Amino acid sequence: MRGRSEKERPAGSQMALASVLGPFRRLKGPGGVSLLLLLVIWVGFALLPEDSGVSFGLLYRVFFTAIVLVGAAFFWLLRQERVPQPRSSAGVLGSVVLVYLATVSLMVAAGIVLPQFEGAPAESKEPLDAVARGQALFWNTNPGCFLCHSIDGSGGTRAPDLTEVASRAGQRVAGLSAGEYLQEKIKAGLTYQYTVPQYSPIMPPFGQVLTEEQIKDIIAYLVGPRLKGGTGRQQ
Amino acid sequence: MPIDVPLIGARNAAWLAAQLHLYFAAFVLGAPIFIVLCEYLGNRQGPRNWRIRLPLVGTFALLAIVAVLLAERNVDRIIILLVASILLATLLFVRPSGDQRFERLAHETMKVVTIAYSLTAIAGGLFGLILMGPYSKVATHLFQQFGPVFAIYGLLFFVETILMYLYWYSWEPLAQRKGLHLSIGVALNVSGTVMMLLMNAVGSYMLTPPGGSETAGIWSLVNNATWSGLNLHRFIANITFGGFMVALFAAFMFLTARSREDRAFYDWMGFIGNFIGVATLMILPLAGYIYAKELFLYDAVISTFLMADKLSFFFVVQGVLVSMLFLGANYYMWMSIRRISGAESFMGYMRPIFGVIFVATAIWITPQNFLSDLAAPIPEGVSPADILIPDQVAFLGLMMAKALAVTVIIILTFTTYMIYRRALSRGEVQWGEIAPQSQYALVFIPAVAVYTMGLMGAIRELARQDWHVFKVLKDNTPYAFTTPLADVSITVGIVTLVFFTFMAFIFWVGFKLGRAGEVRA
Repeated sequence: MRGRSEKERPAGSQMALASVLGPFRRLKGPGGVSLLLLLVIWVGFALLPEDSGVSFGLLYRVFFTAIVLVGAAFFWLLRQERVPQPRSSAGVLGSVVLVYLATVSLMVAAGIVLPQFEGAPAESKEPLDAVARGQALFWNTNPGCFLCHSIDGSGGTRAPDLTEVASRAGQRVAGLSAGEYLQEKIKAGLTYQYTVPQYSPIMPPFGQVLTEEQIKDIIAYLVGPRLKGGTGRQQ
Repeated sequence: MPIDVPLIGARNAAWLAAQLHLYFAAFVLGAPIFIVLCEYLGNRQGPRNWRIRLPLVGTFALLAIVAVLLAERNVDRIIILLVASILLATLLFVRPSGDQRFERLAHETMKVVTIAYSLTAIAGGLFGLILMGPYSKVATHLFQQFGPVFAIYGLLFFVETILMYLYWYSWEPLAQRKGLHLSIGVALNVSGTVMMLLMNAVGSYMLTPPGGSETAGIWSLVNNATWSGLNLHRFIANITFGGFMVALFAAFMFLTARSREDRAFYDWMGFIGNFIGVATLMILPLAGYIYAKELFLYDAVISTFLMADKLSFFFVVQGVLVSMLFLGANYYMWMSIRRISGAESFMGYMRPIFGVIFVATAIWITPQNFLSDLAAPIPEGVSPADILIPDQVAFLGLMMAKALAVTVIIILTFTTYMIYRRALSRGEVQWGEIAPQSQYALVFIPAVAVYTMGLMGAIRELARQDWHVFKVLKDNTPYAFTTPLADVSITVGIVTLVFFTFMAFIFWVGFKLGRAGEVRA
């Protein structure tokens, strides 16, 4: 008998665990689960070191919080056996319109709170010089140089960073200056004799897409002085 | 720009008219497909008529094989096989049940389709007028390129109108000759579908014109890189939309019904509408994937612009919307299971299934970063850790994780239907006893579906960037810029509200006013 009661008695570590988990055991239903998830999101992630690679930042936590709150409301609804319904036709119509307006408002609101880009067309219509034209071309989706290359921290990462490329391009192929190398590389793309190590040969041959003038403009932008006012990206 | 539209601008005017036209068109094309199917199902139960079915099956199978052999692209072959499988399965396995509720459903729905048909034409005419005014350059280009297509379209417009009124007004006179009446219905659907294919050719050409399009033949212009993908997606989506709209009508009628018989009927009608909507919704992601693949093969830069650059957050919202559709549809199904006698033992599966759907949804809509586009710098004073996905879980932001999450949601939706069937084998459905909140789910679903159509339509148009016809005809108007998500959301919200206001009118005339007259008679 004695042995059995000892067996039934929880060990010290189990008791400690039970005392920690005790309050959470009372957390039941959508409210309890949501509270637990919110604790994980706001306390758990905050306790993780930043270099752990799994600690979500502020905006992600807000994002997940919204999902948890919507989930809590949904699971609360699942628990309802029957909600009362309006008796008159006007009441039904009103309730249907209300559900409908709430749904559409929620969807519109979701589109408004997410990050936005500038949508207005460029106001300046003055003629551009070669560097400005090259800048406009570089950051335009057609031909889309920025989709793979970056400058000053903006742009894609699939192809080499082109910040200060003027200082490196002249050393790529023996006998070619920075401008000559860039011109040939842009024209021939992946078919060119040289590809920067550690990058895949994926660049399309833009000689078939861009005019000589446009290629010169892009080179002027890459090797020339950096313009003020951000990337100057169009569209 | 020679002419502009005051107050809202030419672009918004064209947008509103085109979107409204598309909403109505989707309804008047999608609803008749299952109206004819329902009329057939409600027909008196009889033999399987293998003497008619087998030659039809053989002919369709032969046509499908020829079409597969003649198809130029693998994607087209997949599409043909998919459509042929659906058609052959329908021909082989769908059999009249003799249930008169199908006949009533078909008849009542067709009444509202006839009213919606006029509004479709009005919205289309308005869109045409706007194109000919502020966007005359585009209209001229399209007429030059697609002259024969527009001529056939105009002719088919007459044919479809005649068939539609013939189908509707011969319902009672041909009550004893169902075969003939159904044939008119099939012809109506064929002409409507061909009209849709023709306009899809023009719409898809604007985004993916063939190389050397100025001198290309008419077939090359029609059969452009994304025509077949758009056809497949729209054909399926129209049926989905039609199903959800019927469920919406049924929900309102259920909530206002006074007699037990009416409540039972509209409960059943809502179930059938939602069932058709969900059954086709489950294959829509595949159709969407095929369409996106065609777009990627045509020009990878467009795909990058859509999925990784300026329109990437549009796809986050799309994930939210489609998840909401599946959540709403599954919620309704579980409410349906609850009204089956003896189904209590199955209710234990409900919460775990929704739990997994929510996790999958969270994965689907988690963005890779919170930057508005590819070139947007990290704002000053903001830590990169706050807006970039952590390294070790970066896979959650990639396509593979999203595709898996969608697959899980679809499988669980299918599982819910299997549970419904299982519950049905042990008990009986108490039609009319469904909880009222389920009917509000049937209001919620079409609202989300219509909004999703508007948003995805905007994405397709914005993909052309500052071109009327991609890399063929430049947009030189002041409106040649990519509209931000917030502006798109507001515009789509407005056009959705306008559409449902019109639908409420159609519904009132067709279901309520019409019925009041029938009762008095």
